[in-house]
Amino acid sequence: MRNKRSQYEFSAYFEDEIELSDLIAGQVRELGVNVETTDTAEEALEMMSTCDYVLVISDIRLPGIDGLQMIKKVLDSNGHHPVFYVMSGFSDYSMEQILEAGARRFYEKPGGLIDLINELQNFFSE
Amino acid sequence: MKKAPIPANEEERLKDLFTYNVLDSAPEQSFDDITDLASHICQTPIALISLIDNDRQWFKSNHGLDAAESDRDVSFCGHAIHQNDIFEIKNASTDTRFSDNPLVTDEPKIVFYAGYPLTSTKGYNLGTLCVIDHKPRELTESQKKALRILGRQVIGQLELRRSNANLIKVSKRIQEQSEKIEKQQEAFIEQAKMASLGLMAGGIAHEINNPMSVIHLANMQIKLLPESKKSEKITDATSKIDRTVERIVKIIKSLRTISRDASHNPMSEAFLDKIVEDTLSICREKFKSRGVSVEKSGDFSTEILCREGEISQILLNLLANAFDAVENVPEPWIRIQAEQRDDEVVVSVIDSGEGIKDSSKLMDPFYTTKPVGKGIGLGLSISKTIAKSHKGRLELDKSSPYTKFDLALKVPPLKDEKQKKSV
Repeated sequence: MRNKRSQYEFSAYFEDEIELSDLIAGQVRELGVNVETTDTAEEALEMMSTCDYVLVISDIRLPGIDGLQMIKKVLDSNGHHPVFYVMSGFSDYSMEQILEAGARRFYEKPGGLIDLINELQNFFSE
Repeated sequence: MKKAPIPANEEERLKDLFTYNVLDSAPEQSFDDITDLASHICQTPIALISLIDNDRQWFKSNHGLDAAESDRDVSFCGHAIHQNDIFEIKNASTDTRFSDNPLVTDEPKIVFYAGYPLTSTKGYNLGTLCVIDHKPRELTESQKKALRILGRQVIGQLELRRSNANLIKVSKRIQEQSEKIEKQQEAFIEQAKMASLGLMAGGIAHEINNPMSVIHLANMQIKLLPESKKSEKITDATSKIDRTVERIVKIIKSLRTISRDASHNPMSEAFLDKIVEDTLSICREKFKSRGVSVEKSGDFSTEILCREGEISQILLNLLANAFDAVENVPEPWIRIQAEQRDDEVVVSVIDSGEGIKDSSKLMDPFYTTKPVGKGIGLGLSISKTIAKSHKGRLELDKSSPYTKFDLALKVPPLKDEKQKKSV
């Protein structure tokens, strides 16, 4: 049974950089929003199959799966389609490819992370 | 006098003789032993190993005669090569064929001659093993037998000599091929190293990027603290962190550009200044730490049509070479300059090194003047190929008093000109 979450919940998927995960999740919680995190792609897909997240933030490089393929898989499915914000530190994919795959926004590490945090404020105030 | 006749198969005979590569060679003990033995057994003062060339007879071994060769026309051996067995002249002074021969009437005053033809494995009579006396006589049967045996020994020695020479040639060729293969292996290893360096650069970039992100965000959090909670020291520290992050990000981007295999990518317009700065960001610190100053001069503002990563590779190679050249000079400097010329821009890398003595093979693969371990000489060759693939050129400017490499690249037409063309 799918778990309907409130609009203030979203999942954030980070790669194995735990400290970065803590920092960004911490920033978002300060906005009064619930965050669920994971550092593996398998768990990320499992979570998205059982919960209707409003927003998913994901690094394009995830252990276990190609981030772009993950986005396409979720958006091509008949299930719930969250909004994808994608972070990229070093990737074979260009911004154009990532946006074409269905991501709404793209942020490049490290400088783009501040823009991400500012954008999250806008997203949840709408 | 009857001249020594020319055999019908003379052309083939000479060809076969030449394959032995023995004419005009130095005396050899193995042949001298045979003529010594022939002279002793046959009891003659003179014994020769004579080879009949185009217009002379040449002596590979000479026992008792003070001559290296003589005319073919007057040679006794020239007659002997028409026989299949010993050609014997018991008294040349009374033989109408030879009585007025200068070798009979004058030195060496030949009276008796017995020559056994030297027959090659292909069946051609190359010359003779002959014995000569100054008085009339004839050989005994056992002396004739000995002469035949020794004649076959001469052929055996000539065959052995030829085989050895071929073996040496083959061995040399194998050695050369082996060295070539070794160099190719080194090249593959070097290429593999470069490929893995590319991969490594990518991995390093990725590994650095995440911790960089943490530093950047943490710094931001500190900066967002209310002023009352910040001391001057914290403000100063966060500014430093900002600047350091910016520098490291630049290096990461350069590593990323260079690590990508862009050889199959289409060309795109890129600012020359960005490419040069990205490349310099990788090596500037190293140059600075060794006291090598790097300056830019000229106009870098132009856009070029290129694959950025590949142009960066060329510049990196030129800079690395320049660095090696100036490492031990008293005033080490490197200059990168750009000059616009008609439809191209020329980027030059100049150094204060000792210069290039021999530039004839500079761009050849595997050519290097560097010591072992400092490169196998592929960089310039690869760089030249990349420049060519960009319809450009990489050349050494020989007119410069310094070592100066010019990389000429095409400049795309200006946008308004492109629009005019499309109308």
